[in-house]
Amino acid sequence: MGKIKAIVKWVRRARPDRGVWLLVFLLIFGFLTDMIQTGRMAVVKGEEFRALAEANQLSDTSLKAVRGTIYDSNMNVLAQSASLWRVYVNPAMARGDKDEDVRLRVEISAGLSEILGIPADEIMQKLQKSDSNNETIARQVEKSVMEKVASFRAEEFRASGEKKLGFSAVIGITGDIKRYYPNSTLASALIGFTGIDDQGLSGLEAEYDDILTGVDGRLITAKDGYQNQLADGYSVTYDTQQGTSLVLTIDEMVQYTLENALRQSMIDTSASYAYGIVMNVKTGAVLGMVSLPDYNLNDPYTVPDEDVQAEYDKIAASMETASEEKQAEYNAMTQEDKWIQAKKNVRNAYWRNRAVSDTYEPGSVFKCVTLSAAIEEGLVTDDFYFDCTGTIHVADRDYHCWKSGGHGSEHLEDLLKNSCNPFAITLARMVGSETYYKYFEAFGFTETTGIDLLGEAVPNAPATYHSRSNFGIAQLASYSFGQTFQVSPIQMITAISAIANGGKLMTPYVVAKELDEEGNTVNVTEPKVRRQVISESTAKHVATLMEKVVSEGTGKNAYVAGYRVAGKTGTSEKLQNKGQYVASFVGFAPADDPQVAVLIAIDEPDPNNDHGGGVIAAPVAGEVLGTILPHLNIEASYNDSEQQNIVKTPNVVGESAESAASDLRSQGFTVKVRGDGDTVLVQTPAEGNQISKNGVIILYTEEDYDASMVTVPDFTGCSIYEAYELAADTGLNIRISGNSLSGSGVSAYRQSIEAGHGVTAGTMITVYFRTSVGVADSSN
Amino acid sequence: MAEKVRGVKNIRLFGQDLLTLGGFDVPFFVLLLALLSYGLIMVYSASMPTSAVEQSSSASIFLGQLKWVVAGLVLMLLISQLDMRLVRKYGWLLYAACVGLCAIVLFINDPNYPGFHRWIRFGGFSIQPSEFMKTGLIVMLAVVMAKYHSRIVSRHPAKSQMAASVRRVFPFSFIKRLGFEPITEALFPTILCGAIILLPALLVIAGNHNSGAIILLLIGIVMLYIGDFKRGWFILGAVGFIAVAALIFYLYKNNPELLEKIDSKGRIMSWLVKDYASIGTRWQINNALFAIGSGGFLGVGLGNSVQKYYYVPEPQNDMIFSILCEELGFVGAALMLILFAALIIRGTLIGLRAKTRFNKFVAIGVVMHIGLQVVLNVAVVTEVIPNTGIGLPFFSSGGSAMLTFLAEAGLVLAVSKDSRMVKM
Repeated sequence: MGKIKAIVKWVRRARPDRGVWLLVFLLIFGFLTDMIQTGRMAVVKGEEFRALAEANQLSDTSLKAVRGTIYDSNMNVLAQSASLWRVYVNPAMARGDKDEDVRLRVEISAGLSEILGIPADEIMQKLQKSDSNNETIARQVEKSVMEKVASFRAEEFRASGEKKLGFSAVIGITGDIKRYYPNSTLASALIGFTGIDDQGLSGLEAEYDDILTGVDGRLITAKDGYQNQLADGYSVTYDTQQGTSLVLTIDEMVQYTLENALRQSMIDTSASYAYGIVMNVKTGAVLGMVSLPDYNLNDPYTVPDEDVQAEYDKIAASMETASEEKQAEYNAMTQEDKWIQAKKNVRNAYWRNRAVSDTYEPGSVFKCVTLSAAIEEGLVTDDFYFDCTGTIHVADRDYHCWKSGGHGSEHLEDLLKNSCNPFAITLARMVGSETYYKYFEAFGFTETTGIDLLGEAVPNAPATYHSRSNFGIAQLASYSFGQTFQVSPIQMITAISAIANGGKLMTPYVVAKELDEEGNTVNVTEPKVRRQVISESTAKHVATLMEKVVSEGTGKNAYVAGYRVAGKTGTSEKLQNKGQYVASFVGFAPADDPQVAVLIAIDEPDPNNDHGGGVIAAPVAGEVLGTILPHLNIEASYNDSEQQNIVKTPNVVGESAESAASDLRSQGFTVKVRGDGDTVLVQTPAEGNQISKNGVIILYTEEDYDASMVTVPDFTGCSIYEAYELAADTGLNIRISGNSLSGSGVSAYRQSIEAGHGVTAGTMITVYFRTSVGVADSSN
Repeated sequence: MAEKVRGVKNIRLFGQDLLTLGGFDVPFFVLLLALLSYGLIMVYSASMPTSAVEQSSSASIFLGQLKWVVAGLVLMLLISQLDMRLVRKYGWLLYAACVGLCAIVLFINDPNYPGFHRWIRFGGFSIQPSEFMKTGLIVMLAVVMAKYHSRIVSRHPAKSQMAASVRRVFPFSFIKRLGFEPITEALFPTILCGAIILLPALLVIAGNHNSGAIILLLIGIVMLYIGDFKRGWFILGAVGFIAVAALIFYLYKNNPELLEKIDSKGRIMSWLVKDYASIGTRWQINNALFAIGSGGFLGVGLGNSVQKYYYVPEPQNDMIFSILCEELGFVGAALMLILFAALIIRGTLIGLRAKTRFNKFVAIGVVMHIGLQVVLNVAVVTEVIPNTGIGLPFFSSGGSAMLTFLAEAGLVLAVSKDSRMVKM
């Protein structure tokens, strides 16, 4: 009570001063408001504000993970990423209208422009962007250029009077990555390329983007308001994790060989496209896969202007027959847009992996499937006899054999050798449409192969083939020789590989294994058997008959000395594009123990010239097999006739020149002696080289005698005999590639070193031969 | 409560009492020293990054401030020993000198701040006359209000000739019928005080220093209130202020374009539209708020602020409170506010028990000045009100403000010597 009294007394006494106390209370009220508000900002909104502060203070730099490398099967690099740099500016740090702010912007844009070669006004524009604190100026900057930027950035910028933010606050440098493809065009459609942000855009780069892409790291540091690192600030690093590397089944050498052969063939035949696949028949591993035309992986967006012009003209021409709606749409486009559209089309055409994404009519190659079905069903044996009259009547339609008048009497082996259509139709009818369709399905033509590549063509009834319910007798007839439906090249080679592989249909694949950052294998692709399509004996039987195609039939041009090649040619008229053809050859070697299969397709060769599979596709297969079989360590075994032609050079070094020469001449060699010495010092070719039995051997008898140079003659058009003659006369050795059987119409069509080049005497030149007789598989 | 004044010793010079040596109020002095030390520590911490960048040493701004504090303390102790009668006698001189400086500064062009006339530079330092003006205004109003107090509180009609002639022109009969005397004896001191307040305020506005003028006006209003001018005017003023605030709010809701025209610097707009992502006009306030938020309840520790690294511009100046909050948290902020509140209450008590009315007016005017600036500064930093450039007494760096506040504190101490306080 006493206390209350004291307070009352105090208040009474204070009464005259209550005006002043009111002021004090108002002030205290203000203090309380401030304190409450401070508490609200510090505690209630603290989390939000702290987060916003940290968003400003912490610089969270993404450390770009290096993308995985892509290797071929021998660990040659096909695609690799390099660490480069990105230069950016922070416009928020270069704002203001004072003279020095303007000067800062001008100096920065001028300085960066000089170093990076980018127009200064472009940089100025980025510097003036509001609401941005990170504007990229240049990407994928090389280290030397980056260092120049860094030293420019470190220069002092001082405005009159007080300190201003310098260049370092505005200019930033951070890591960037560039993908390099050392072989530029090699396997371009297969490998694919990445975008500016290191993301896979096509091919394997896209299909395996997830695992190729590493885990980006982070560097979190505290920075001050000028964007500089705080000296004793907080810093946390999360390491980057490099992407997984891929080891492909692709063999750079096989790929290169296949690509070169196809490219040359495409030029020779004026074809629009060409594609080819080489496959390990036992595993389904793809050793080479080519789709032409191709492009430079390091510069995928650049295409030749003439190609764009051609596409542009093509679109314009197509518009004349297009619907009014489309025409109106087209006419509404600007000239530039039309050009861009054409360019886009051309690019897409280049990027397309036709070996898996396109479909084509397999043509006569498909007779192998028909034959397999007939043998597997036990309907025919080698003695089976058929009389081809040139026409066969099936379901109200006459099917003609390509050979007018027919092949006459034929045995089973002649089906493939002669590529006889009525024979194939007859076999198919024996099998019956229901059973035939089962084989069609079993060989995998109604499903994707499951290859680990993006954009595999999906079989699509009724667009590319007939569904079971629509598969009637007419379809049976045309399917038997590979017409009226389409398959993808990868489907076709997988099916033929099944024949080569004892009837086991494999899942094709291109990635053999995956490696982690340290190079440890983290994943191996195990070959996968999809199913047993035909029995092993049937498969062997078909293989034997296929070998005869190459040794005696339409596939002669695929012959490779020392190897037993089995195969089948095909020439099919395009369903959609009448008057255009696909010439193809699908085969494998060695026939008795198949190892590799090869598919060659020349799409839309000049129809007014040779366009048959036997003439233009089979030689390519022969060329490819001739190069890759030895490379893949598949032993050559020459038969007797081949053996006669090839001998090993004996050693005559150290012998007297005269006796050596006469000795060699007596063995059938052409001998040329250079120099006036008595003893042979050097011989070309050296001992042990395989040359033809009448090859050229040059003997050098003087120490300093210059290796004599000769000019390579033009062998094209020569018969084999003429070529040997010409080689001997010139002082060169030739290796015969392709059809070396003494048939009629065999002539050289290419040589490994072009005519007119100067080479050392005795050099080995490969001359490619083919025949145009007896290799037709169609009437055209 | 003892009423006796002990140990007072007068020193005379030229026939005037110059110094009255004696004990001043120790609690006020101690509170003051506590705040000064707190402020110095915060200036040191907040200014380190800026010092390091702008000067050679990270302590340069702190050392500059320390010199002003030392000078200010000397000045304060000298003033605390002055005889308040002397202050009252020559108060007009102080006022006149300050007004003169405020006028001179208008003719000085600062190349770094074109269009602003706030500082007079000489030698290595500069002074800001508008700060001194605050003291001048307090003292001058105290002088006038003390002199005319009886007329200010009077409700009698004014007797002067002038009042009579005004009445002849304007009869005001209807107002008289309501029981009010329109022209009382308070008219003359009202006009005088009004002029005393408006003259410096207008000069400061002319120097493009609106926040300085606002403080001067607020000090003036508070002084008039202390001086016992009729309460009705203040109620009217308060109503008017609320009306203006309501108008601004109305404009904001219905006619933002017009508000934008009035609000040329965008301060009101950016206060109303709280965009925490914006880095334009809200850069300063956002970063101050981020600093407070980063500090939370207990703070990140003395010296550990990150926001002072060029996020909060000039963190040792007007926005120093945000750095205090970041480093010492809500606790540190509350401690500061409590110290200030204690200082103000102690100062008010000194004033209320002052020996003369003049002394009372001076002492209470001073503590109200300090209190106003604290409340407004913290209100700005915590975004209770739109941004204005008002420093935090004893904390914000700046020589003129420090000298001013310490001189004013010296006046309170001088008053406390013969105030009827309990001496400690």
